[in-house]
Amino acid sequence: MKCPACATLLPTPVPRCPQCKLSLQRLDLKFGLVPRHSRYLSDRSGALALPEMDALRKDLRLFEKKFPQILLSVLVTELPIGTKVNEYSFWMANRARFSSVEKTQNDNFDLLLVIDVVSKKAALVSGYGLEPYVSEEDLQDALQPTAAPLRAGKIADGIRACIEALTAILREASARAAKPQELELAEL
Amino acid sequence: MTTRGLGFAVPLLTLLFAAAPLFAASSPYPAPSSAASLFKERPIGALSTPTPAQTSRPVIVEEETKPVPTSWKIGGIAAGAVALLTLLYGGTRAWRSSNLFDRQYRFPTGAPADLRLGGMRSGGQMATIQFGPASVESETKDT
Repeated sequence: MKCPACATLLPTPVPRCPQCKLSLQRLDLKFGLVPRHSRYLSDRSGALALPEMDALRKDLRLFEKKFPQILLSVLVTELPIGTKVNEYSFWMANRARFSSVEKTQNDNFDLLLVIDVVSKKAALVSGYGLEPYVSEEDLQDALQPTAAPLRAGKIADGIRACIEALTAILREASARAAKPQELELAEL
Repeated sequence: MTTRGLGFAVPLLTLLFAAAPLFAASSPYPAPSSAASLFKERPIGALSTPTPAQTSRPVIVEEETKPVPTSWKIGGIAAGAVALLTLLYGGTRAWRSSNLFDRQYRFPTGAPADLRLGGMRSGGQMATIQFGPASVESETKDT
């Protein structure tokens, strides 16, 4: 696991980064109040048309039906110049309440996709609950197909590509996760 | 009884039997007969009123039978087909979006996570991409 700010490897659980001293409390001071957001899709940049937003919300609801534990939220925003999307995504994933309050620690299977149209960067963050099943490489694989549509200015298509890639990756991960349990049951 | 006595009695009895109806008809008492029953039967429940008889003759209107134009028939069939297709299309979309028969995927909850950087929901496991040229100012401040 790496520090969202300086990318220093964090081998053990630490309250703050030993390199850059980053912590959630520091980010609270940096970003202030949590901006308005909705459960599935929030567009604070105005880049998405209303019909596109409606269609994307339907796709995100369908994703949640397929993966009832996982809430995939998307935030399209215009961050102030100089703001690191990694830090902002980490802060939003913890401070914004996309899902219920009880979804913390290993009960949190949420995913957050943040697209910054100013710095042209996107980040995909996962909750603690998904860490045993989805690696950072998997997240990278899910995010990669979004690059081309986003580069072309088609943000809705980029989000849709991410949803499709995540669906495929999570299906495989779920099948892998179910196998050990099936073996245990067979042994019993 | 003597033979003379018998000879007298037989015609007398015959005469009495033959004249019996005459005596009966002239009797002051009515002849015994089965009397009408004192119990009158009544139907149970509400009595239905009889339907009044029709007094006037029914008016029979003779409609003029005009043939339906062929264009109307074609139009009606076309409209019905369009409505049916629209319903079918809407139903298919609703069915697909409801994901009724698709499988649901779940993950078992693992061991308690080691919290990092003070985050209770996420420890910062993430991936990032750059999908376009960042502004010069942003690049300078990022590095």
